[in-house]
Amino acid sequence: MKNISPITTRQYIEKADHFFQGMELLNEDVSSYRTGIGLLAIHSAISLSDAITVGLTGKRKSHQDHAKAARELETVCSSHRISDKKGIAHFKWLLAQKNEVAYQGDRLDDASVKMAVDKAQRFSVWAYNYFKEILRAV
Amino acid sequence: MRSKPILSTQQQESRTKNAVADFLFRQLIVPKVFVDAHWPNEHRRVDVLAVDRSGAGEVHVVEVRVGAQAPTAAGAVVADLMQVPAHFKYLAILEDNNYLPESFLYAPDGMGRIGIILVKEDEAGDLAAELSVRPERFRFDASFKQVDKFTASHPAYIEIRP
Repeated sequence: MKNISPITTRQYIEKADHFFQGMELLNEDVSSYRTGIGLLAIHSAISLSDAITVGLTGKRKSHQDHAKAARELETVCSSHRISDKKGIAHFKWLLAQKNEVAYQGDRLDDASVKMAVDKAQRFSVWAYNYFKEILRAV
Repeated sequence: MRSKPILSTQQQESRTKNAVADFLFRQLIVPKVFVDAHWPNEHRRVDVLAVDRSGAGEVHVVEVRVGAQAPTAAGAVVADLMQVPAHFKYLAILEDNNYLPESFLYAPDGMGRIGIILVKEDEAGDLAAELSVRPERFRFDASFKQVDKFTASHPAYIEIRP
């Protein structure tokens, strides 16, 4: 794998880091920040996914339809013969929560917040394991 | 009232390593953390090693010193740490004895400063680690190939599974 857009990749990784670290920080006090934690978990995964696709394709993403981002990541996995799709499943789960977390009136329960953090962490581990060459020290 | 258990220096050292491993795990982004790691080769051992971003990121090494040996050993430990390849290096000490001049912590060429992690025990006997001197990045005198080989062949003490 070769990164064809290292500077833009770095910018997306930085965003992903900010969201991720914000999520971890707020997660110390779930009752006060539950919605923020959920949203940061989702955005950390979106930015990391963008870092991967821009590194491999050179194209910046601007879609509001984030399901498309998951499909693109799936395509990237297939073209690089990555058979372990666990990360995609975590990513899809997070994307499916975005509307509910950001726009619906229901309060997120503790279990959903915990699950969102868990999925964001696992997605990051998966991404760094399979796209090391793209995401590493660019 | 509960009396405090009397622990050996070795037990305190292990507890401190545990506190430091936990501290790095919380500070970094999905790191793999190793304790008593043979890094960079089988002949050299570091107390705690963490590789950020599940093995794809920067290398952090920590040497832990506790008890009566700490003040006299610190200078030698710092000199030794200077030779270990890592992006970030730390000395972790149990309780603050403030015995090391800060100028000792800088790399000879100025590229890098060893961080200090203070580990403190509270009334309940729980250990908590905090950064007292922030580390500065060192030149990394190893290859990522070496890092990959290490993380692939050693089980991590703490990690998140995908």
